[in-house]
Amino acid sequence: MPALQPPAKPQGVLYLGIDLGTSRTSVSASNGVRETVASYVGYPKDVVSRKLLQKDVLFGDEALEKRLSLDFYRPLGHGVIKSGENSEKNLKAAADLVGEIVRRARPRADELVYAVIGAPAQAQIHSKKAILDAAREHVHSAMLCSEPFSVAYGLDMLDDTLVIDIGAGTTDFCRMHGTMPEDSDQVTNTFAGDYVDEQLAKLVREKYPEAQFTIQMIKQIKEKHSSVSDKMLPIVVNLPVKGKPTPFDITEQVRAACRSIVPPMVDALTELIANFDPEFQDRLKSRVLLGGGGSMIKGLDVELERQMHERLGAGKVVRVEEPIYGGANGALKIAHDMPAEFWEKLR
Amino acid sequence: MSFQTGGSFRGSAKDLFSPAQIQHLMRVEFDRAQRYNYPLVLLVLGVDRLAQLQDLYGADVKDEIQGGVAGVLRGTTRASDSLGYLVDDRMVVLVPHTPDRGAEVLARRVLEAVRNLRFECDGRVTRVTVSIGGAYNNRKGELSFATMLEVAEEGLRVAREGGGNRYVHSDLYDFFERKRAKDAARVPAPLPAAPVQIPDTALDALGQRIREMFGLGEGDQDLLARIQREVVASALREVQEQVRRALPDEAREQSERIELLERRIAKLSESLGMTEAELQRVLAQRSVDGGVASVYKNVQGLSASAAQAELKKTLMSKIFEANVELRRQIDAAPDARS
Ligand SMILES: Nc1ncnc2c1ncn2[C@@H]1O[C@H](COP(=O)(O)OP(=O)(O)OP(=O)(O)O)[C@@H](O)[C@H]1O
Ligand SMILES: [Mg+2]
Repeated sequence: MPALQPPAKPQGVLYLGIDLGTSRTSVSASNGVRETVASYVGYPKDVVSRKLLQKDVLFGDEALEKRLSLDFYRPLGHGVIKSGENSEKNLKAAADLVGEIVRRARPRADELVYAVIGAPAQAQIHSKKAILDAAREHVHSAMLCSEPFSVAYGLDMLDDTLVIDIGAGTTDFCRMHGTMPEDSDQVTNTFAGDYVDEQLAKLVREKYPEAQFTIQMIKQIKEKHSSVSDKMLPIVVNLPVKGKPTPFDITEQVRAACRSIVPPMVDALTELIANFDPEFQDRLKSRVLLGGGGSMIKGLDVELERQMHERLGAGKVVRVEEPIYGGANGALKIAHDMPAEFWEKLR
Repeated sequence: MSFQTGGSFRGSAKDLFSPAQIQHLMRVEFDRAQRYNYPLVLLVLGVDRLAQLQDLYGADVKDEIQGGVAGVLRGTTRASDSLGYLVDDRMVVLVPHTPDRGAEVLARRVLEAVRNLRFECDGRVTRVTVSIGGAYNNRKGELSFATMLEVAEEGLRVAREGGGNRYVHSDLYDFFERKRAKDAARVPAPLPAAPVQIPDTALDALGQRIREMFGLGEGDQDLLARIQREVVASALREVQEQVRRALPDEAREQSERIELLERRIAKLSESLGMTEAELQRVLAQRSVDGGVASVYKNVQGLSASAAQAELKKTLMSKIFEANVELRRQIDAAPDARS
């Protein structure tokens, strides 16, 4: 598919850094716009819903809110455009989502628009094609880039760094050593935000079988109270019992659920460190970069350091300052640094 | 004799529709406009002193002048499909999707374009002018197509009486609408077309005539009835045959053409509707947001003074190469989507 035709006399160049995630899709743009939208897409189920909603497609929290009248998609399951039974529709939903995030960056019609899209490292070729096809309908040139790499690039941590990106569906680990990371530099596991939600739901259900809740409620509770600290204020939330709000202390359950992702993280780090040049292994251990929405769990950096010390003898963990925009900011920086001729060749 | 017209002119005045055809076409368009609530403008116009020109130069010249004016109308209104004649050589054009104030604008353009036409008659250059009456559908209250036509024709009359070469909008909608309503109340219901009923009085008169012609008496009632039946039957047959013959192929062709045009109008107004909706959508987006300008006027690229510039340069090349390779893989697997 040919890319969007560039304006005859461009009045400016707009760079977009886009992070396509399972739970959030974000953009950072060179016009100062930063936007993030929950990665949900919904289409009115029937004529009546369409009349009521007055829209052909809804995105983000609005789609989530109205999902009962929608054919509802979370098109980037596990960070990759979902294939499977609904794959055609999922691809369309993903494409619409890409279009929406470009619109939200508010490009001007008279500007040349170049985008770098952080895609999950393990994305399949058909997902990459769908992402690229969708992007090329809305921008004049687009490139894909591995997501953890762009996080590291955005922070200028290009050599001997371990990047951890805790998303919703996956946690991606990437070893940076001055060159483009290759497959052997990347590990992915599914102990991420969604897993924490499931654990928390399971633990609360075990302890308080009478409490009624949905996974969405659990996710909200987690995002508000998440912590792995030994010392934390008691977490008391209201959950309905037979429809009546009732307070429950879930401090222990939150801590346990959040901690559940730490041992698999150390496993993955161990793997990446163990097969690295022994001379530089200690340096790697002392430069661990923690990003992604899941890195907002309070005390996670300290807990990870503690477990690394226990199992690997050393560890120093740094948090990305803006976990939500870490990927998008890095992608924007790559877009900026990319020479003009590369953009033109990929038009 | 020759005249200059725009490139869109397509032949002589005879190409235009006949009064009956054009009124039918226009009524269809008018009904559609009322239904879908879009504005349209009707112009009726006549060449000033056309009768005198015909006396001076002959009927051919009159036709050519009419053709030239028709060409101007087509070029100015772009409404060549609903352009035709009324009786007395008046021309009429219906221009859909044109607001009321557009009537005057259009009329002025036509006036000017006609003034610029040149006809060469017997070696002399002659110029003509037209008078125009206009009407539009954008107004409150009842409106029928007949009224719109009357308003425009009234405008034309006033324009002519004022000396020609002008446009008049008579604004007598309510007057003609009331008149039309009154007339409609007076007109008796139309007679049913078939089967043909011969009134008793006519049959009596026929019987009387037959009796006189053949000198029939009271005892010949049966014979009289038979002759009467035969005469009526053969007369009806003859009339029907005449009617059939009177419907020439040409008329059939024309009504097929009208049907075709109607379909075309329907299609055009449908696609116009779609275009308008699309335009609205784009406009809505545009008016909400012209976008936010980037801080960059030009493509940037890595600055030489950036930290680790050499390394970053290599990394950019690698990302680029990876994307080239990705495109290659995608192109190699055309069914990668599935
Ligand atoms: N304060 C918080 N504490 C804990 N988890 C949080 C917090 N805020 C957001 N999250 C979780 O972060 C996850 C989303 O992170 P992020 O936006 O980086 O994911 P993503 O990039 O969309 O997903 P992926 O990288 O898997 O494609 C969700 O599971 C969300 O619940
Ligand atoms: Mg992510």
